[in-house]
Amino acid sequence: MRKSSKALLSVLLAVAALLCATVQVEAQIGQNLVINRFVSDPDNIETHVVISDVDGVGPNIKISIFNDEGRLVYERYETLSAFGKINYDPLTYLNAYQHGYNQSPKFIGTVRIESAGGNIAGQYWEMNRDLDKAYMNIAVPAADGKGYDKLVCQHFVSDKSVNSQIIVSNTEVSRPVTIDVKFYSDNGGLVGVEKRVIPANGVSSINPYKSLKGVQMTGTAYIVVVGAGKITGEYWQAVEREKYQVALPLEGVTKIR
Amino acid sequence: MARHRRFIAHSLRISLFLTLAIACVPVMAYAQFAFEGEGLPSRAGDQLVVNYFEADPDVYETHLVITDHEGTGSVVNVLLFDLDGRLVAEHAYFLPIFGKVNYNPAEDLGKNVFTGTIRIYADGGNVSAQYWQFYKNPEKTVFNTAIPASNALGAPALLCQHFVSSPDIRARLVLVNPASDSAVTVSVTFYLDRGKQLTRDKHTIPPNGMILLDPFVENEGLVRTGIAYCEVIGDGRITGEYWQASDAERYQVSLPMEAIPVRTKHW
Repeated sequence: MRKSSKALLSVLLAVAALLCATVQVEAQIGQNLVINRFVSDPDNIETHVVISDVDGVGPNIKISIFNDEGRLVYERYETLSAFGKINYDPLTYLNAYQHGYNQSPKFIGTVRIESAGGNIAGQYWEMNRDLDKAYMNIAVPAADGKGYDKLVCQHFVSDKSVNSQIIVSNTEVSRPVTIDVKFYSDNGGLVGVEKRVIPANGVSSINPYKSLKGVQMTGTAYIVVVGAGKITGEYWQAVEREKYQVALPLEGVTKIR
Repeated sequence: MARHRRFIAHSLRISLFLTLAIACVPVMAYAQFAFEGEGLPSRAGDQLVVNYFEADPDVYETHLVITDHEGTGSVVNVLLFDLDGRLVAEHAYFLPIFGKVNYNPAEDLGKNVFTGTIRIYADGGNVSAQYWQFYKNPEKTVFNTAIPASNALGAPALLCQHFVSSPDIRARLVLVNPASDSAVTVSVTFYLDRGKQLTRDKHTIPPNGMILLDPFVENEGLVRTGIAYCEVIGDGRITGEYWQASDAERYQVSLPMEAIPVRTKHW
């Protein structure tokens, strides 16, 4: 009797383990997040990094800012309130900081956020101080730091008057990643390919108009990792004449051409 | 003899536990695979939702971009529903293999002014989609915005990471019920930045319908910023977005809400 009850207990433990294992967190949140593009320009731009506690555990988090070559510029530890968030401008701290930042406060880089506890979610808001440039204000969600090996940029514009950028971050912390950016027309025809190497923790911006040597078109771009590595990305499009800017996350997919 | 039996029983127990544990491993791997970037992506699928769509031929030029990233040449059916979930228009497209369609869904509505939601059903493979909302008036282009479509699988809980409750800010939480056969009840809880709870209200979303919540109204005129949890009560799933615009500062942003694990509920 005692044996059978012990066996039953073992079965129940295994079933509980199975149930716990299958309750997994969906994408867009996690313990590692990437803000693909971060602009440091204290005179003109006010940035906001928003990090929220998803699980209500109030985790400790580490916020690291790297320049586009993957060099660490800034590092800070924070603690989130349970079910709360932090919303702050890293530039207020960068002014007093670090790794040569005082000599070069203007740079474009990328932000990594690591949680030591539960899951977190993040956003990046970029607000222009000059009201005439407020049309450039944008907000984008942070990407899952685990990254993908294939990304789809659903819509790009290659045009001289449109400032469009495909922004790709290397989520690997210790090795560069090689990517192929393949540009296709709206009808699915291959128009051009560009190969890039992104350093560890780095970020690369690809301007379709430059990559396509001045071809004027719209289309779809596929970004594929060559060999090993993981990436995340965004697409930014701004037109000064029409006074707008939009920013969209690139879709991570498993199956593309 | 008794010792031998005990040994056999103990061995059987251990092997049963190990067998079950091993059986669990592929399930764990699959679950992680499915949700953590390499498996089912959150924004691509064979059923998508554009949560918020506005048609006004005098004001907007809207674009719905649907991409066949798998190269299956899917047929996509695009259905427009109003806030109450009534079907208003539908259209079918053949996607070029590895290509896309980029069209103005308002064309199906003629001159009608309309606010609603768009459903995309792809037959043949997974697709991804975006919604671009452009203003025709050059003075209003500062409010142009674009947002990715949500996977219609939805989630039982969504997180709005940042809301502004202020009379000067046009902010709205957009919540959609992707189910076509049953209404869903959603509890929306607003918290201050430090996690202190503000208000919690329940809302019912009809099948294929949508609700718009203004944080300033929901929080009875309190001027604050914070975080909002949108959680389904009972069965059902939702998708959602957050839009924020300032006429004084002349900008508009739109962000998808994040799918999050279900919390322990005490209501």
